[in-house]
Amino acid sequence: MHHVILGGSIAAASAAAAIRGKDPRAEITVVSPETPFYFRPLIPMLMDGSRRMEDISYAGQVKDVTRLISDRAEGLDTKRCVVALESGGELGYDRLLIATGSAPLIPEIPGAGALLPLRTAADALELRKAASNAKDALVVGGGLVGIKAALALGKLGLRVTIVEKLAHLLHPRLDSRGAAAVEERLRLYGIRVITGETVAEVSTGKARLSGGALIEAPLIAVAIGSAPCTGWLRGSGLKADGGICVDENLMAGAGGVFAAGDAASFTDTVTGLKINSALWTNAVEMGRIAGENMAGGKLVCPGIWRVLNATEICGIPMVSAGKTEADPGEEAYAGGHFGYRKLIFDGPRLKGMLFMGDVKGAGIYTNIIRNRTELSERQKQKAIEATLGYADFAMAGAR
Amino acid sequence: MEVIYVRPERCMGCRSCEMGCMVQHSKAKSLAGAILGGERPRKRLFVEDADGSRMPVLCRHCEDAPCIKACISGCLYKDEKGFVRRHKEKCIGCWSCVMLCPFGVITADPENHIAVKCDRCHKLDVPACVASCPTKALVLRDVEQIPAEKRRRLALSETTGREVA
Repeated sequence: MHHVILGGSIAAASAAAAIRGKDPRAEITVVSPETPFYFRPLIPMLMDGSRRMEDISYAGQVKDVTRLISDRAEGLDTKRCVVALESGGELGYDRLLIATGSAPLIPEIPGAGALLPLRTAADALELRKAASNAKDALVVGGGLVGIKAALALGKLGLRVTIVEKLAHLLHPRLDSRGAAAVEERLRLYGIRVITGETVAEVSTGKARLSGGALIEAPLIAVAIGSAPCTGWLRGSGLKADGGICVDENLMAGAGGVFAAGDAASFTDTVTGLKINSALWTNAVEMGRIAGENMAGGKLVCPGIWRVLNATEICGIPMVSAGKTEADPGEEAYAGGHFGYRKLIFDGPRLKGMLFMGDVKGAGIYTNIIRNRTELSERQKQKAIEATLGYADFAMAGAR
Repeated sequence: MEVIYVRPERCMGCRSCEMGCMVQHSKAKSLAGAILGGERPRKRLFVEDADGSRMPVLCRHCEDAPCIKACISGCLYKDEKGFVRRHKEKCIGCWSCVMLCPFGVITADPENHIAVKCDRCHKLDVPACVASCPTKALVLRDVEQIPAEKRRRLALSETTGREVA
């Protein structure tokens, strides 16, 4: 059986391992336009020079791939079961996994050509190079990638400004109160933060903001999110409304074609809405499920996460999952003795959590959200009081 | 494969296991030595109180470990014995493993800025927590024996109406 995997990041690696686990004789071909198999979340560290490419590569651990092709898929014929490659060739498959990931969004403004995205290792190195000739930098987008990019540029000695279109940073991973704490800390680290504005125009070395201000910035990085790489599927007959539409087995409508990771749309565990996510953990899980199913399994993907993030920014550890703002009918408890904690309940069910400062035990809460566990009054109280532990579930069965 | 088996009904909440764990993970390998040396070793298991019932909660070295899947830096891995361990130097302190461990037993070491977890005392025959438990609430069991033992205990507790050790 010939399995073709388009894409060379974690969904691909995870799928390859799952296929191999089920079928030791499977032929697995990976097609990737960029250097495959590195820890993408670590590319800000390539930027600031604290890691080299070989430090962030896990290619050595990927032992399940039979053949690696450095190319890009350009078209798909699901009737003949072949993928058209950019180099001109064709590649036949028995099972196909589309794990082409997502590409950075670039705002449609005058001078957009000068904006540098941060999506790949190559982007990170490009930014590092650009930073060596600049004293000032502007980062467009105050999400996780934008903030990490800003901190890396700051570490390289640049004066950095972040401009975020929304009212606060890190939406929806933080609520406004949590974001205010991050904003304050970033300022302490010498990074200027402007919210509620975006970039309207870019010309040599300068950027004009939507509010009219002109900012000196020979280097402008852009991190306003990413969109699934599905443009090449036009005419293939696959439904790709945003991301590729898949069923519960992650199958994409045509025989033998699956999709996983950023390229696919799937149901959010918490809200039930169809989403595209660009989260590592979703890609790992979807890759595994798709891989199993490509090799004959019948695994069902229970859902993915819109929000499931752990990180540390300027010394503040934080974890958020599910959602960070309550919808009507839900109760939110916000407070905390050591840092900030917020829990959002829909009756006995936890829908969202945000821990900042102290993240101990966060996994107990993400697990409750994922399993849609119905908490007892006592468990809920302990959750709010930050004393809920695994024992509260293990011992509940014993009593 | 031997696993650490928890018998909560025997746990008095004395926290000897936590102490044993800390000492084993100190450089001095003794309580006095660690204190005098100014070390602040961190425990990797936690005695929890669930409204009066106590139990030590520790890493289960999961077969399909969520922490390894969450790790974005290649730090966590499964060793040849099946123990989930760290390549310490690779940890960047992103806390993704903390975010996904359903037992809540991976913690942050704020001094070294890395995640800390049970290494099953892989160099010892008997893990420090098991060795230091005075009531045998923590024991080493062959994984093959557990279903049988669980069945026996369940049957006995059902018929006698009390917890059986």
